[in-house]
Amino acid sequence: MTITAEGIYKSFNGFPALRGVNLAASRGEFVALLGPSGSGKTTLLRILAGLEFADSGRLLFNGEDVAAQGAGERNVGFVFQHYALFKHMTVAENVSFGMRVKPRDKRPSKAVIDSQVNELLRLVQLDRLGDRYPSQLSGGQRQRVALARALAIQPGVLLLDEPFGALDAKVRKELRRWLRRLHDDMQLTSLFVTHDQEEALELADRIAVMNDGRIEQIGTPADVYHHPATAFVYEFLGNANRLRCRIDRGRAMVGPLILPAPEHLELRDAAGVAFVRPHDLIIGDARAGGLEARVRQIFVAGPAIRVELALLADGEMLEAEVPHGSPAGELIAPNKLVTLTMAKIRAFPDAVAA
Amino acid sequence: MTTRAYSLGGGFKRPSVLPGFGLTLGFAVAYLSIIVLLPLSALVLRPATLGLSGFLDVLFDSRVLAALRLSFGAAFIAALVNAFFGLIVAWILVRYDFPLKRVVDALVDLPFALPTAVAGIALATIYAPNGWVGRLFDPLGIQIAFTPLGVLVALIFIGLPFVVRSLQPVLQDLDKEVEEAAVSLGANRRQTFRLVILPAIMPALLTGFALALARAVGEYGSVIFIAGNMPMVSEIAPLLIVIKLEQFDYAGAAAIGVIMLALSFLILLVINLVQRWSRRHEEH
Repeated sequence: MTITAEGIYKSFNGFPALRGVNLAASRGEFVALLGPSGSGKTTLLRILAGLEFADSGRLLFNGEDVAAQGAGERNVGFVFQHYALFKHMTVAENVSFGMRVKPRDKRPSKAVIDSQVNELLRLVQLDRLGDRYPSQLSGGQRQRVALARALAIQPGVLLLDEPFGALDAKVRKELRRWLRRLHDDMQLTSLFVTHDQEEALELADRIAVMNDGRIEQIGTPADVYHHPATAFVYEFLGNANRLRCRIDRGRAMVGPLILPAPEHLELRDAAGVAFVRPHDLIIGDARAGGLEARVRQIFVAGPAIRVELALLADGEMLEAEVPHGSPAGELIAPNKLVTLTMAKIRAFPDAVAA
Repeated sequence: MTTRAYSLGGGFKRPSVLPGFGLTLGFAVAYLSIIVLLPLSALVLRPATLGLSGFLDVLFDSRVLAALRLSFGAAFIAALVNAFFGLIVAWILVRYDFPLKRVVDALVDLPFALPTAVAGIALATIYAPNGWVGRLFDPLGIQIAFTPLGVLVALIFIGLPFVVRSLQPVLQDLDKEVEEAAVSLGANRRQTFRLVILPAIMPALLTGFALALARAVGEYGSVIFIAGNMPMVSEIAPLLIVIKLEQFDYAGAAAIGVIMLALSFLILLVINLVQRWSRRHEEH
């Protein structure tokens, strides 16, 4: 199923939640709606599901306008963040619910329902747990029941609201991979909401980064990660240090450093911000030249050494990452004076910067 | 040095993070004994002076049977009516906003607060054949006050708050997402209510039903003013007890009391079991 949303506006009691959102998902695509809380991503998902109605804008499923249809008519599978399982029903009853409430003439026979439930339970690896009640299951199992229940109506599109939000890190990672395989095997069209950039980057074909009721950028994970369109996207998609700079004819000046900023050839001496990822921040000897900073904290546990530094100029805190065993590792010690240079930055003039 | 041995498994008292089990259990048992058990055992012991055959004579007296039938029958119907309409009232109060909602909410409690005799007299007045409501039914040949129907009206009146107040917090806590899930799976309003909402509120509804029933079985003050109190027709069992007391037939009065106690206990036990069954998914 293809999904097109055009110019969706929605406000709650006068507070705008969505301010003109355009989004398209084609058949078989896995799209992530990524953004901080309050960015409107869940509202957008609920509007797609028919659980909320837009103030204005068009919503097309397979080219057909569904804005006036209720949630039950849209044939959408919705997976809630907190599962929203029917507590008084067994797992099997939960999964078969969507088939059992069909109008009598379209309702499959009991034998067909039973065999489909068994198949779905096998699919979500919960066979033999059909007789249990949701309260007897772990969080990850409940989430899979919720998924099986949504899939039971053979939805044209699967919508997932923070599907892994309530799970612990290890289960989350397993379930994530498993969901991606399931999506591919069943040739679903899926949209999911998340505030976890790692999850979006790993799982999605395309990511729509949302902020303040708008979509800031839509693109493949590589696109949004390597070519962020706005300062917000850059900051949201990974750790980033933020430094004041001046941008002039394709160069950015950060303190004494002059760095290439080829996107801004046409700008003349404009104020802006330069972002640098922690692993692009190079720590050098105190005499090596660059931004002077003092080492504050060193965290050695983890895949790389993380160093917290304070700029001498204005006390601004920066974070750097140094691989274990690299020569720079020798230079750092608490309170030591060092200089910083940058392998790569991304500059945004203030008009664009958030 | 002393060592303390904990018996594992077999002991009555286990180590626990909640202190004071012994003290609170002792208090609870003593308190219940004085307040509940002692008067009840006095009640049960009194008819013993009648002997078994005397006791059965009281029980199978046709006037007693008629009174018991009316008391329990009317109480049961009233509790059913209250369960249905109380659910609607609670639903409206929780789900919707409307002007004077607070006032309506407060009105629900009035049957709790009103002296029962006042309620009985008020009801008798408006449901009498020349009263505000009774006048409307009189031409149809339906008389409410001074008939078993009047008993039912009084019992419905006093039982309503029990159902509403039992249901309100549960309806309030009902997860909105569960309903949304049902709707997005294609259930219509009726199916959502019947399959999703009703089972979730069933334990509370049963609690309200049981409370309304228990209250109605024991109700005296409001009923005697509207019932007419005709033996065999509109005489409730509690009234019969009072009548027996006035005739100094203490053992006979106590015998009816014991029968009511046994029946009430049995009914509440059954409701409790049903309730337990309706919560079976929570018992883990």
